[in-house]
Amino acid sequence: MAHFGSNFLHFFASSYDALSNRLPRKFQEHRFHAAERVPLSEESTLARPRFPWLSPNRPKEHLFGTTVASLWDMAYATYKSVVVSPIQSALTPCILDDDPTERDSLAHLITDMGYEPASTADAEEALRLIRTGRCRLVFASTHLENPDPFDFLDRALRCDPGVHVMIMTAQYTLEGALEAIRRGAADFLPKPLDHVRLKRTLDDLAALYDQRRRVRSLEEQLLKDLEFHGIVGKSPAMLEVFDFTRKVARHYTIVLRLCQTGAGKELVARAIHQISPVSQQRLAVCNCSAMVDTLLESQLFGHVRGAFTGATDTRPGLFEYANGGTVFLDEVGETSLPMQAKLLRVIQNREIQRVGSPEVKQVNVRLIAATNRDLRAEVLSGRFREDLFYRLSSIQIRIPSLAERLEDIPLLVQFFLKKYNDSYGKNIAGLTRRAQTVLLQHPWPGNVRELENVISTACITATGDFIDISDLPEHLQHRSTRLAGDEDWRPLSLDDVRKVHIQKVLQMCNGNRLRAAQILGIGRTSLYRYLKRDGHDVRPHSSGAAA
Amino acid sequence: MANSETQSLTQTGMVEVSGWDEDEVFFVERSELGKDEHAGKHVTLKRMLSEGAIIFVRPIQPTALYHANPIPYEAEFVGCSPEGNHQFRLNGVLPRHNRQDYTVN
Repeated sequence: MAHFGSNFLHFFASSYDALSNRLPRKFQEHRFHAAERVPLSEESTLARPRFPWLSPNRPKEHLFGTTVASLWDMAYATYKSVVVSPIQSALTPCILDDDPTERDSLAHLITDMGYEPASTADAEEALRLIRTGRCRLVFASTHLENPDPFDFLDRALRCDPGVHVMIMTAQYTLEGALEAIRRGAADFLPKPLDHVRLKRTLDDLAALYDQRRRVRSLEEQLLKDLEFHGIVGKSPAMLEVFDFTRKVARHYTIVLRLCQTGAGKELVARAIHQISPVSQQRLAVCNCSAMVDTLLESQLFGHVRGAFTGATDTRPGLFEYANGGTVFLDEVGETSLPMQAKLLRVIQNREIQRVGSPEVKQVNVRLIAATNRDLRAEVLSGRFREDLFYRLSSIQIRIPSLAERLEDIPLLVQFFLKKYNDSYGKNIAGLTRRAQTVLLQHPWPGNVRELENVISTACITATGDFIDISDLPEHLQHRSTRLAGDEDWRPLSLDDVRKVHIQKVLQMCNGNRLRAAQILGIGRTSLYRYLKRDGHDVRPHSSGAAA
Repeated sequence: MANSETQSLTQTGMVEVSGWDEDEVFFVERSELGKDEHAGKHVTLKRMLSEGAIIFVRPIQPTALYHANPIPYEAEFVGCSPEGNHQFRLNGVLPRHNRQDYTVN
């Protein structure tokens, strides 16, 4: 529909251009220039016709003959149903000039172009308009003495890094223009202003803001669609995790999840429980690393009164609490060997014994265990029981670290922004480009939890509509300067980085594609797809096939 | 308006503390959240934090129906425990709302 609408408008505009050349001069003044075509938008309406001669109420004899008039009526009707207009309303240009004559003259000109400017001779007032988000475009004259226009530019950009500042000057020089652009000005305009250029600039900016609004709305929809039980991700690695989780959730009795700390273990455990057949039953979460053995045993299996000092009453443990449901054992790799023996008994015999009680109770629970340790290595070193490892690892889900799925960062940022906007009563629209770049360059050792903390901190600190570098934690602010010293770094596209990285991992694994896929955190099918896309032979190698 | 004082953490107990230490290294530690009339809410950490550091405290509740959210606090160093750990008082954090109230850096 949008494509059709766009084509129709082009046809309409060119037909109008052709026809209006044949109109008397007074009608040609309202000529519909190609530059005035407006982008399609679902949300805007044709609230006020931009072209009075296109109004359906205009007298037909105003034009030449019924044929032309009918064409206009048809065009207007379609234009009204497809297009949408007033992009101007989104933009309030601020005119900062201490010469009242020039200020008023520019204000009239901009008003004639369909925009509502705010004029002032006071730089502080202009900065206030920027701060409050009322003006995103400022025309600053070089007449300004206090402050100097470049000082004003610096202060305006500190207030809102996304503001467009146009510096107007009567003494245009190439050096001055380059200096203004280098310092962050959107343009350096010679006086008297070129009306066509001014109109185009205003229209382009209005269209840009309109486009951003629509992109934001689409992103919000995308976020809703890509959220999987509170977990957000659109990277192939995460989509595979979601898919596998959906499949195993219906059938599992024991799942082992391998992931680094902060990657969202508890969220995935809750997701598995929510889509399992026992979702109506309880879920108990136990962090095995947070407690000493005796306390952990009491927490998991319960105790009877008098079993130990302080056991003043009989209490059931988490296995009994969640009987019929799910128990999530976080950091299971941290448990001691005696505790592992007790866990093995629960898994094998489905029975527990409260501390201090001779009575054996039957329980029916599904078990989800998680660890950030390499349990195979722990088994080899004698720190983890081999039989428990094999019992736990019948179904394994590996959750990729954030560094392995950088493409999810924008979506996660949006998710956390929404969360903390609601929580802190803010209305932060997003991150500036330079802040986004910093986030994409960070290695994220703390995974999604670290990203969440960064966004939460920034939401507390930020006072503008956008989070800038200065709102991020201090070590991230200095990140870009540290990266400058990295001589190996080259500005590669994500596709190139992926290609190079896959080849390095394959070399490291001596061509074993199954092992490479495990390290890369993707399925073997995905690895084959990437290899095929990058022009490699995907026929099974002997080592890969054997693996 | 929500802030750390209006969001949960009304009970003492095991919590997960995360943030950046004085070397700007991200950390996650488990600790016991203490609360008394004089010191207010406090936690003991193995790591030292920078002055005015923001840390995030998430209650670990085994039988909670929902995943608890981390609550931001400003950590104020109180002293060292006999074991050499660092004790911090947790001060509530108010989100900034007006740029004019703060210097622009």
